[in-house]
Amino acid sequence: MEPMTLRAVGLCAGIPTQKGEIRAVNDVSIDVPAGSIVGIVGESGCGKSMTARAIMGLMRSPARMTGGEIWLNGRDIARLPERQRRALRGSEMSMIFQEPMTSLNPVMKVGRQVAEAVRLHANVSRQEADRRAVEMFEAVGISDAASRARCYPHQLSGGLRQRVMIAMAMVCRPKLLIADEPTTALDVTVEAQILRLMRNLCDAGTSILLISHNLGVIAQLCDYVYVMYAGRIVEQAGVIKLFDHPAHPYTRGLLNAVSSLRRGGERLDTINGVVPNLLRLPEGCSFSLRCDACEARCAQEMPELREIAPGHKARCHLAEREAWS
Amino acid sequence: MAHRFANRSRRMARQAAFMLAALLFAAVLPCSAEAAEDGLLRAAILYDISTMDVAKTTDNYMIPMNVFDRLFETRMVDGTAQVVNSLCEDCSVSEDGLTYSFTLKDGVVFSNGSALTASDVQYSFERLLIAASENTDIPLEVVGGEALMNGEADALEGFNVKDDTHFSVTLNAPNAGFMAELSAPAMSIVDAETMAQVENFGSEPADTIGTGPYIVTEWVANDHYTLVANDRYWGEAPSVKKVIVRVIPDAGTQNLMFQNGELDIIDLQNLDSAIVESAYKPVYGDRIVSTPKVGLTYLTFNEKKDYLSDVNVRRAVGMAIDVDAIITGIYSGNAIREYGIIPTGIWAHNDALTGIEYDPEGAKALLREAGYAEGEISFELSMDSAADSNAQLVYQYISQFLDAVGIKANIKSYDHSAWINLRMSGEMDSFLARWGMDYNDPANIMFTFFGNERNTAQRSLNYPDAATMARVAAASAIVDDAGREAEYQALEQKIIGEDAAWFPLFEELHLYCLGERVAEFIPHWAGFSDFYAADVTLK
Amino acid sequence: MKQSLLRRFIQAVIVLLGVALMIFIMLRVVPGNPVATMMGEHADIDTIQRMTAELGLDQPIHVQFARYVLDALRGDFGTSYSMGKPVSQLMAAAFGNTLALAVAAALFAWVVGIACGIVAAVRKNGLLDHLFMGFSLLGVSMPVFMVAMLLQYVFAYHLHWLPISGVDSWKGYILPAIALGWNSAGSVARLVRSTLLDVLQQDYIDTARAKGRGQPGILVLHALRNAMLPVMTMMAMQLSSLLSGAVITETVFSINGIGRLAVQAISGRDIPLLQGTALFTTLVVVLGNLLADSLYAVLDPRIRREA
Repeated sequence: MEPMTLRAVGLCAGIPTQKGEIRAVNDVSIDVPAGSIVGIVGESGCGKSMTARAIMGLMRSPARMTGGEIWLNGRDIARLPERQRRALRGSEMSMIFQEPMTSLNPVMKVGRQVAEAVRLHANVSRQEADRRAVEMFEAVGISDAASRARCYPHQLSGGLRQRVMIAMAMVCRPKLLIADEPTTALDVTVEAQILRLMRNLCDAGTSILLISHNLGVIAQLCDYVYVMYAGRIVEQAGVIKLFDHPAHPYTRGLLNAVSSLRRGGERLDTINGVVPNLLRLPEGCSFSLRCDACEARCAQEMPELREIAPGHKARCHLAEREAWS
Repeated sequence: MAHRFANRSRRMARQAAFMLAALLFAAVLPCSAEAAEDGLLRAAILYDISTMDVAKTTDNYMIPMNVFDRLFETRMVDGTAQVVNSLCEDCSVSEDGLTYSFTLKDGVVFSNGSALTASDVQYSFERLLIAASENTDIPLEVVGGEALMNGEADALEGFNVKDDTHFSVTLNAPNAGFMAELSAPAMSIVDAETMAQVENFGSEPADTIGTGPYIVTEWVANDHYTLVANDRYWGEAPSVKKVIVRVIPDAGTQNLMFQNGELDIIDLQNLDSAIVESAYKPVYGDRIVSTPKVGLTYLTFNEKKDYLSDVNVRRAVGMAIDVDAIITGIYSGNAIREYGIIPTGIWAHNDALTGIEYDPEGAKALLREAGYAEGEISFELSMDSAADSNAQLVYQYISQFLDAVGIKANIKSYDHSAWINLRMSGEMDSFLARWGMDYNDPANIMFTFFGNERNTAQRSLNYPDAATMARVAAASAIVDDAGREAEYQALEQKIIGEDAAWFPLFEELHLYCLGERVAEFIPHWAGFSDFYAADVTLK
Repeated sequence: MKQSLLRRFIQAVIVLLGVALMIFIMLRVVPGNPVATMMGEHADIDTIQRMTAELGLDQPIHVQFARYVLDALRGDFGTSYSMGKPVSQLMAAAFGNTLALAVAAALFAWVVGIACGIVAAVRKNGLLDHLFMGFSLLGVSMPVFMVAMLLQYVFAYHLHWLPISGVDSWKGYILPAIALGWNSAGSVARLVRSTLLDVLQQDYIDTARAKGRGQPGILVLHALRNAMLPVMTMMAMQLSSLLSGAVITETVFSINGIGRLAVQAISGRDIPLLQGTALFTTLVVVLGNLLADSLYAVLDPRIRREA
């Protein structure tokens, strides 16, 4: 069995409210094998960002993790005290965010912000940390790195800022990088550059967990994909299999929406209905209300995440077990 | 690594907290109230003085009273105010009452060592007419005063220096009150030599050179001033060796300081009367000293105005006001009912005088008889917004009393300057005010209000009776004391009794409370807040 | 930056001149004769007229203004009517006390306000949060004179820990500084809390946590500096208002400061003193705003470049 950089088992996270707990992440298990890029795809609000935050230990109060194990490089970190958990952040696992405009501290020079990460995890002088930051800037393709390091965030373009974020995340050479919608806020050409940079990082040995709602990005970058809906994994497969043989009606809906765009068809294929309220999920399959193929049992019984082919699982009563081929 | 850092920062936080606690503790260590040094008297005033020069003030008398002497002083002798010799050794008046011949005390020196001479006295008289002065009345009575003031002469003609200790003063008209006038603070004797050298006299302690029992050593504006006993003083050395008068603008703070033993004397006039009644009278008992504040609180009637020009209306107004209710209700009884113009404490005061008594039904009947419909009469009661809270209450009381007999007296409040302007213009309907006596002579109040047309106009009285006013002016010249007293009392009868030209209310009492270190205190004869520090005896 | 400073300086001079002119005119059109006010009850009309001429108040207004400005440029602001001393000398003495009081009050207000604000934000909805915010509400809503008298009664009169009045030693400043700073401390605490809570929701705080910063480091290095931007503006304004004098505190604790001087000038219609204190207050406010702007530029690089 290949070594796993990250193995999350049965993750649960929720937000307590007066009307009860919102179960935003429900029994989610994710594996990120070493040296691979694993994607999580889904609509906004499906719980993919919270899954990422739960793994990082960056839940924003009042949201909290309620269960599950997180194995990082063979060690369960979910129950570590905060102090030890913190020591892992930035050194063994890092995260970059969707909005490079607001993810950098506006009143601190960007070089300093990267050097800060160095000084938090390595006992080095300020000069040395600064030097490593500039080095990292060069590594993520920031030209004129030394002078850029002395800039404030507002003086840099969006693409440069995301490169700074990546530099900051990678400067301590973590095994795992979690990227939460890293290119959503960027224009297409910059997006391509950033994706190439991430590919290179992966080739250099970093495992990446990529969160995106964009199937195009997922298709370009990922080796293996999880599809999330209403806090649950509804399907998981290798990227080619998922795109070729989607087993869950939700995945199919997502793919149709994209391909109808590609084809330039007269009509945009969309998924009917809206994302359900997590406080009032239907009794059976969460997707049943929006599903064209919904049957009686779908409305009553929550389907299991079943393996329908090796490495391919789906949470659907109707998903055909694929023939061995 | 992170661990070590956290430990260190926790240790540092603990140390910082400890240091902060230690600092706080040091800050709140009991600071025992310092014991006052021997011979020190600590007093407080609400507002700072504006000058140490009497020529420039009509109320900041504390420093002039203690640092300078006058030819005479008015002091309390056996319970009555009497004019006694001070720098004057001997004084005689000519037959016609016009010329006063003086002999100065021998061997008096100023605090800078220079000797007192007759020319110092001459200079002191003249400068009141030459310099920007607020006290010109008294030297103007001397022959040639007007000419000197207008720049038509360069010396005071009626002032003749014979030698260093002898001089004479000749008046324009006889004035039986002249010696009393010379005891007023305004007539302080300054050192001519010092004055020749200083600019802006009255602002620097070092320049403020007198012959009095104290010298002023410092004056920090809005903070405090200090008086120290004058080693060269010609008279008896005072019990109080040093006086510190602090400016404590908040009455509540003065109260706490006195109760805490940080003040040796407190002017209870500054405190709320409820506090005086509850926290002083029951607690301090015999340490409270009470003295009449010689002066009169009065209500004016402008005889140029409708309604108020009618003597029946004026009389009815007086009958409608229950002065006794005001005295008990507002002043907690700390005032004396007055019926005339010359208040208690002034020598010509008429104890036997009775005047208009409270009679609201009589007032209504009088108005009906005079042909007024109920509610017809109205006038304005103009209030100075700077008046003290008690005076403002008196306005309210009066307005209500008048309302009860159908007279509308509308209170209107004016900014202090605007109020003075309106009053001086002679157009104010009616107002309430207090006149404090400057010296122990009835002319000081009689002449100011009813002495001539101009005087009565600038008080918005517009008293129309020229003949009576001529008599008031002439009364000053009556040399015979008994005759003069009789004339003033007759005039009172005419102006108040017959004409009801103004309505006298009361004379306030001035209360002080003495601290534990004070054995005896004789207040100023006229109940000024300012006092002679030499009249305080420490234990 | 230099250019904008120069522009600010010229603006300040114009504001000062304008204020001087306005005060000058206003003082001469309001009813009431300042000389009559100054001389009091016992003065007669002749004396008042004589003094009016002596003080030059009978001159045409433009002559008076020109003379005033020329004298002021030489540092001569005239002689106070009510105090008989040069206005510049009176103001210098008073400003020393006001400065000491303002600095002490500001120190108290800011140290306490910022600390409470931080604790309240970090322990949001906790006991300390409710406690501090309750206190700050009291601070914002309790009138200064009440705080002053309470402090005076409890700590000076009752416990004898500190002097009742006067500033003969540094201890004398403690109670007035607390009384005066109480209110500012309350508003600073509330503002620090709300901006800090807002800043703690920002994405860059997540970034800092993602790189392994702990809570204290995040507060100090990332959150506070950003949260202090609006607080700085408030503090600069508080400082200029503190420096223009605090009548009530100065009165209760018998401190000879600018505030009392100004009130004295107003009630006594003391024209030279009133002009002096008003000009001074204007100057302090103008300087305070200038300070706030420059501080903002120092703290916030986004503004620094644009300015």
